[in-house]
Amino acid sequence: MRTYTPRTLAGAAIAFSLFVLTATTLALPGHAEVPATPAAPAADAATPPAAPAAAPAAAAAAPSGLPPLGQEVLAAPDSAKIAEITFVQNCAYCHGNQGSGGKARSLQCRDMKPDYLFETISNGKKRGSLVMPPWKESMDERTRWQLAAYIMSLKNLPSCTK
Amino acid sequence: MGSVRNFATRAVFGGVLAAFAVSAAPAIAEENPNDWPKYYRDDNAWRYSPLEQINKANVGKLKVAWIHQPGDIQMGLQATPIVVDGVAYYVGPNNNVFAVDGATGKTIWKYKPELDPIVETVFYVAASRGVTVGHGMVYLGSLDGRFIALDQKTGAVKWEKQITDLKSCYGCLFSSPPQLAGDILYGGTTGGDQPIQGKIYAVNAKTGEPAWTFNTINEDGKSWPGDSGKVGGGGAWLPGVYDKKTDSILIGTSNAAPDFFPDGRKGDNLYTATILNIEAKTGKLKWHYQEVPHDTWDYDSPYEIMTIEHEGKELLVHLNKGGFVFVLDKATGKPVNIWQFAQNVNWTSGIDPKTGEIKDRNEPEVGKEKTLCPYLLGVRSWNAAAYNPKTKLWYSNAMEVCNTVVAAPQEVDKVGIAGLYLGVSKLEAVPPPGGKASARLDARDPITGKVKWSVDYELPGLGSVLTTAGGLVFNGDVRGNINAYDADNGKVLWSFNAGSGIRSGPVSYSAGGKQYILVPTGLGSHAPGFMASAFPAIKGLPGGAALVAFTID
Repeated sequence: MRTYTPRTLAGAAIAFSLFVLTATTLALPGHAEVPATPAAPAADAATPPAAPAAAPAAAAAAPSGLPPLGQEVLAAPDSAKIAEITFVQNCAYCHGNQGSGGKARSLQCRDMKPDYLFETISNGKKRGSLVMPPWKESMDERTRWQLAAYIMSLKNLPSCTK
Repeated sequence: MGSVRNFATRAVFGGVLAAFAVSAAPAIAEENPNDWPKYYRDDNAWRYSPLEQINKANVGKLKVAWIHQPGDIQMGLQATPIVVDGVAYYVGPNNNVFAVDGATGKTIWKYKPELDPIVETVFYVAASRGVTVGHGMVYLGSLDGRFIALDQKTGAVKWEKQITDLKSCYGCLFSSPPQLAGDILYGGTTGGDQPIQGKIYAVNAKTGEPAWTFNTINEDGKSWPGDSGKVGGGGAWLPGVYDKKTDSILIGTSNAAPDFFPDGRKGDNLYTATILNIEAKTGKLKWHYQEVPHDTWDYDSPYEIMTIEHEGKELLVHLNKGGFVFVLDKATGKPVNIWQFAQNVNWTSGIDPKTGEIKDRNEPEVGKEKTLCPYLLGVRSWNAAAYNPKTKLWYSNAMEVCNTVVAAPQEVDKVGIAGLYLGVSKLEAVPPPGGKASARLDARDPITGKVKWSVDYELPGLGSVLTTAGGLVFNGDVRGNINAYDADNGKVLWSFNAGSGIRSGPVSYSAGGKQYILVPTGLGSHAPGFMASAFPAIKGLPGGAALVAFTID
């Protein structure tokens, strides 16, 4: 039923069924020490333009102690770039363009750990009147790690060095 | 809060006011002037109280009478209270419903529904805009897709009906109270920005038995190519009004989806961004007027539909998010006048005031950044304007903000239950080109748009405006300032800071012989987050939820 729009999102080939993936996510061993795997295949040519210049920095920051998929995604040089359009379509409404901040705090120029970002994206957050819904039912695990990579890249925006 | 600008001479206005003060307004208000019995108080949607105990001469003495707190504060307090026979009924975050003694603030009963856990996973979480009272019941549209009827005296559940399934219809929750049209209870869901097929649902108000469903996606094959209508958005996320004389429901619909990338939905996309006149008994469409055919800017039409008598004719006055006020003949739905309310409009060079033709459409484009004005939240947020039959003025908040947009295809299969179907690769609220984001409260002629007075706001007013027979206009801002203005000239006569912003509908009523101004306070919702890039001062403003009643000793 929901197939009439062109599929152009980078990473679309990884489209498992949403709920199957969620179940897979829950079954993954947490924080296993696994060597970083090679980068995922490059995204297709439809990758959106104008991603933050900092994607490689996010890849370099990929720490061990994360689930294998998290390590893989964070090590991939294009993860942040792939996630930019996901961020625009799902997150910018509340967090602002390039995470400039909405009612919640800016995501730019902050040194945040990838597992914290992944957990927050997955499970949401409530603080006072602010409510962020959980995204684990709406995005597969890879997409959530890619978003974590994108948000990590925002600490290296040119404005952060001023 | 800034300067007051007067646009007409006092001498001229004084004469006009004197004339209007004695002219009978059409069907003012509901039966009991002491009540606020409906969402907009009456089916003219005026948000006007005929009470005048609190007036220009004594409003400066207004003091807090009582405060009622609903407990939860997620997404702030967005409700418009209903007040009948001295009892205020309202809903706080997470569908918690309260009946409160209007004279003391004491809780009479409360109702907390057991909500399906799925409500935690949706985008428009927690918030509710009110309840409806009638037939001895208090009606709630729930966050998990139910209509629930409570006993007005006890809060006990009389009946409940599952209307939508959020698992198969993402975002199809009720954020606004279903409304009464005689024995019919009807309402639409939130979800115009999601890949759904929005509908208006009607049940028997006394029993909850289904009566009819109106599909806001026209399935005649012309408006939506292929399967695009199955995920075309629509719906109706704010309350409609009822015309008892003609058994008509007047209600405005949501935008088409994906909002900014319309390539897959070439066509007029009826009945999105449309005013509908539906026969209450049958659900049959009597007439429709589509304000924005093939909307590509998120300029939907759900806001209040006012009825104002003008030169012997009943006219509808309706603000569209795109910055224009549509004045329509109530009998036919044909335009009588269309006037520009927003100062910054560039999505069109203008709308023909007689035919409604949108000239020179400036649409979002793939791969090209455009700054489009107004932005997706509209020239005003959803909370309503007010009309005072004594001054014959229309009072409305306004904001001047644009958004930079790059349209992009969006894979609909990837839109999850919390996701939006916007069709963008860039979207940001920005000031108007060469200018600065600004906000104001305007007093205007509702038929022509002529400005009588205007008050600048530092940050946009996001609550509804209230006006009274006491010659007053009440309006709150996002910092929690509640102001009473002289309805004639915009002079501030009283102010109070509630500690958290206004995102709701202030009302007025009388209980125990005293008039009250009742203001639901507490900032919340997603909108302040989106507007923060244009209004940085909105960042970090505190949320809250408290119902504050004011009176004069």
